[in-house]
Amino acid sequence: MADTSAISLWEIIFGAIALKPQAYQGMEHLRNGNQVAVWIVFFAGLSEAIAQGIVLFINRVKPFRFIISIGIAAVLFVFGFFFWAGSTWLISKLIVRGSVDFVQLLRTLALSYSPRLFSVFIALPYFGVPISIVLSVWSFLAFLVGITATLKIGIWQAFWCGAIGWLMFQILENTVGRPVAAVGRWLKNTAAGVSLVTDLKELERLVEQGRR
Amino acid sequence: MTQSKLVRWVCLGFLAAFLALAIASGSILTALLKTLSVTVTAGLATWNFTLDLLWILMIVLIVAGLLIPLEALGWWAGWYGDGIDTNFNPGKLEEAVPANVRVRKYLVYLDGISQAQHQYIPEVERFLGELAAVLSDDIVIIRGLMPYSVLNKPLTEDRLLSFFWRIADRFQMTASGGMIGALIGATINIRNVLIVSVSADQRYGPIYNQSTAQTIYNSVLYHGYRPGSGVPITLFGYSGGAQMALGAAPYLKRSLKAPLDVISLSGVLSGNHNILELEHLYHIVGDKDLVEKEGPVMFPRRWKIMFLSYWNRAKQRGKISFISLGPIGHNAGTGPYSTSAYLPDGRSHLQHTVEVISGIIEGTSPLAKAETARKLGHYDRYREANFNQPGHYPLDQTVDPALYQPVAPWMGRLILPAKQQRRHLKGVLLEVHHAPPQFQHLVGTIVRLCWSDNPLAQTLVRSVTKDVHFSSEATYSQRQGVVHPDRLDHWQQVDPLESLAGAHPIDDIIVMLNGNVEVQEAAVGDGVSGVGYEGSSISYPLTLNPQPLSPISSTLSIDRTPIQITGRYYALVKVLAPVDQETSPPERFRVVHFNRMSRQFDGEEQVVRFPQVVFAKEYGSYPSTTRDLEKSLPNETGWYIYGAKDATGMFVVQAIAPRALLRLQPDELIVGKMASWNYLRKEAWQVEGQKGRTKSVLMLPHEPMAGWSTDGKPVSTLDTAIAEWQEGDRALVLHTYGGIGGKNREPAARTPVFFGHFAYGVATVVREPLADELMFDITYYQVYTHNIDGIISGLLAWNRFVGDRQVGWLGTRPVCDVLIKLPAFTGTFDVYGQPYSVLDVLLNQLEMMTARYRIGDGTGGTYVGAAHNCSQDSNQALYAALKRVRNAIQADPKFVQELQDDPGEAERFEQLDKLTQNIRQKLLPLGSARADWQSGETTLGISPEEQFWEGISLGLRSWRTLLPRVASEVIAKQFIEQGATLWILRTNQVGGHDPDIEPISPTPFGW
Repeated sequence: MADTSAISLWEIIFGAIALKPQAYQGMEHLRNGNQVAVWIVFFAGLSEAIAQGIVLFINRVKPFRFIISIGIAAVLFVFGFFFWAGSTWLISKLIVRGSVDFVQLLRTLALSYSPRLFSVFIALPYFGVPISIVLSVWSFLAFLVGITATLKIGIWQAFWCGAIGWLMFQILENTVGRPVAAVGRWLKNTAAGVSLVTDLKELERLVEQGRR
Repeated sequence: MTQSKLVRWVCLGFLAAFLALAIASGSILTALLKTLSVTVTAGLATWNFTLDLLWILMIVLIVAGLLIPLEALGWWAGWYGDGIDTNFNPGKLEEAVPANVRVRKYLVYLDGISQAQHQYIPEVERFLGELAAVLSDDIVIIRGLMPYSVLNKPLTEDRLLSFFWRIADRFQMTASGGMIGALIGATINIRNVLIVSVSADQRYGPIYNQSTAQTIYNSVLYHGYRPGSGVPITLFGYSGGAQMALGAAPYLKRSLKAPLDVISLSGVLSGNHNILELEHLYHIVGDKDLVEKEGPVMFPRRWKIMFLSYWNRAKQRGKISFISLGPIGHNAGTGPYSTSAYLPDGRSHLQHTVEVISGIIEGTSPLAKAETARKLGHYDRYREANFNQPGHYPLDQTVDPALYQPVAPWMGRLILPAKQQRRHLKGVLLEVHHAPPQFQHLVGTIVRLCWSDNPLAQTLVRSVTKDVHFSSEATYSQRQGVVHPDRLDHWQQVDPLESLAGAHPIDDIIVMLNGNVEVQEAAVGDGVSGVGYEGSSISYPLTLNPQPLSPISSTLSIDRTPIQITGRYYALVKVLAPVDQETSPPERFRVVHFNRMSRQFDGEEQVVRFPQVVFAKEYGSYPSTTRDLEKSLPNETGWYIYGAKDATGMFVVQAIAPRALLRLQPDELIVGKMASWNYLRKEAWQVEGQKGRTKSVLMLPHEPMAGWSTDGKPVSTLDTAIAEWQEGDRALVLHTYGGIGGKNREPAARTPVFFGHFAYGVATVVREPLADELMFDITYYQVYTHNIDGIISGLLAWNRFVGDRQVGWLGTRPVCDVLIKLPAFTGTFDVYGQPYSVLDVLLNQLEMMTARYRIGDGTGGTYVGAAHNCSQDSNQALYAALKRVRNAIQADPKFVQELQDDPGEAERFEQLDKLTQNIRQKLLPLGSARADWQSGETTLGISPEEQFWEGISLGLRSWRTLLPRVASEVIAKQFIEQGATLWILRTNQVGGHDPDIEPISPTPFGW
């Protein structure tokens, strides 16, 4: 990436974090925009995976496998993002009732992930939990700003786009997406070297059982 | 530069959040601000430079914050390998335990966030030294643990940065370093604050706190603690140490199974740990402590709006005592350990803190109680009448043994010792009213009454002993006139004898001793050291008043809970006529004693007094009356009258029992399982036209063989059936009572549904010497919620629970006692040469449950609800008993053989097996036990309102035992099916005649 684009890239990212619609317009014109989009999502995923590292600790994953698991989680996060973008794209086509450029939407959605770059702070003791709530709300707001700016739709339409898109993503994940999710799980388990317990209740139970 | 502004804002946000937390470390903020203002005002730095400094500081903090949980997580995940020595530094004792001293309590001290190593800062060292000096020798203080390290490792050793921490610790210990030194010293506080935040975190907390629990566990074991021994442990944390203590406490309690409480001195507590599991939390705070005050603001779980948080629920249940330390700050010169600051009364802060803390640890601190006006309940009104007071009956009376018999060999009045006496006494006091002939000299004296070392007794004591701190519901309920064990409020480790002795506001509980009684008599003047008796509130009209401060020289050890009784002596009489007409209804009656020789009521005639009882305002009727007593039906066969002589020598009748009911002479015989079941279901509770009558019905599974007696005379079927009940036989009692109807209907009976009451009990066939005939001696195991009548949950003799003219139900409520005899259940098996009876296992569990009820599992109150009530919890005890039997069988294959190896045992064992299976099925209609039944959780004392839906859902899981009559019928049916013999004893408002009341049976529900 050339220096000029690098500067504008940071401007774009911080603009998105500051919920500025111009940032999304900037993203549309960014050179290597697609690549940048994927990297934003990857680093957001990496940041979140580190914050969720406690799950790996509870599962007693060994140090080397821990690092591999974090990397794999970040990659899977990117894959998940594509599915989510796909479902949102389908919904937005219905809501907008016109053609929506998938790639354009992909870039917008990726940029709206910018606040999640801070996800690593969720790992902070005590303040982590409220930070995670703030970041979720923040990235949803970024999504709304991005969608309204890119698709030129109203805030409520954008809201439904996000809400129904999320719902559809959940449905897909639990139906046709199951084999894909299974592959993801297999990858995670293989990397971790144990059958990972990820269910919150089960994790609590594991901790309550005590250290062996 | 919008981006950098934004980043700056974000960072400042984090910084603000961190600073809020850092306030907890007291001096950090002040030191920091001072330094910055000095640098700026002195022109040493510009604002920009200062901001840059803050920037760097914040980044360091965030990185530190992210790294700080790693130690705990790595420990959990086993990254440090399994070779870590978990016994590393098990702490030291502040003072060694002298030889031959049995440790009474373990105290573990966890220091505040300034701790960097095992050695504390000087003021803490001084405090611990003084505390150890005032505490008694049998309390062990463990010190030197490092709760701010998951591996119990000091900061100053064996770490990458230990050189830095050593410098910081040195600066912290002395003021020589100036401002910079203070700042460096404060880094220890900052680091430890981050650890506190890990402990308070809902994700990392459970992991970190387990490590702290592990450290404490290793430490107490190293210093001689035996898990399961029941020796109480107190975790004492100062400031951040209190949070660490509270975090570790639930895990420690689970693994040590010890009574565990936490003392928080100026503690900054997050409130998200399960305080409900602890005995108690004492939260001691100075009025000028601004740091502690951050807790309720910073930690959402302590906000009032989070009413379901552990903190708020614990507060509601009285699990937290808030104790003010007076005008004292958080730390340093104005803090609780300060020797340079003084209270208005001239004592230093340190002295005052030592006094408060030692008072709590020793259990002698009189924690403030809310004194509020309360309504008078029945109990308060009843005790105003002189004949309801123990002092009405002189201690040195004699009776004609041909006419009067003592109710029991050992009888007396329980006296609760003063709080300060408890340590030396380890038991309660008993004013002996009657003793076996060889101990006659003890009558009228005060003796010590304590539990024997018998393992069974010790198991009972250990499983129900709890700290008592009244919940807000108990306090409220007490104000409504309900009798709660007010004198036990804020007592630690209240055992089942103390809970019985202290159940009433005054010492007026009369008991007979049950089980084995061992007497230890010391030489004169060689009493229990430090224990005297200053006389109670009871004054006696004659001599033998207890001597003031007489040393207690004798000790009675018992292995069973004493049975509450009414009266000291009893006689068998027929009422002839009232002798005075001036009172209405009459009080004095001419009675004739039963003549054993003629077997008629043609013995000596005497005048006895049936004092007019006090009106039961809330039920709208008199508990009993003497109107037309001489004309009543049961009078024909006579009454057992229970009481004692008053100061004039007149026998005062406190309780009565119809002989027709208790002797082994049924009014009706029913044969066949189906007929028995039909009778029980349809006829037994017949109340119409039965008022004033008793009924005794014997029910057999099969027709008995009529036979011939030894002298060749034919014996009727009935006599054969009766002869199956031999002296010494025992039967399980299913007790149910109904309601008071008629013109003076009780409020509870105003709806079409009347629930009634259920209890288990045991009936023993005894030879009654006055009539020289067999009769049933019935003891109830009443699982009874706190009430306005002052009836105490526990073991109650028939003459107390039913027969008592003031608090018993004979005169007002219809009662149905189903006596069940099934050798497989009520008889004994020979196991390893010892008798083993399932009935005994049940009675044991009931004894525990009734003791738990007396103190509401430490909350001071129990209430009727769907999940917990007389019927549910009596049957929970039955479930627990069956589980015990099953566990015993499963754990030891030889046990099963032992149960079946004697003649006839195999058949009985099969019967028992079927019975227990059927009962389990009925108790658990959904196939599995309620979670609280399964775990035996101590969750009594939670008001039904607090857990409304949960209570209903729990109650419905065991719906068959929700309603007293249904429970009684369901259980009886299982016994009938296994061929048990049943004897039904029914009374319907027996005694004198009250035209304004009618008996109401508990509503039958189909099941």
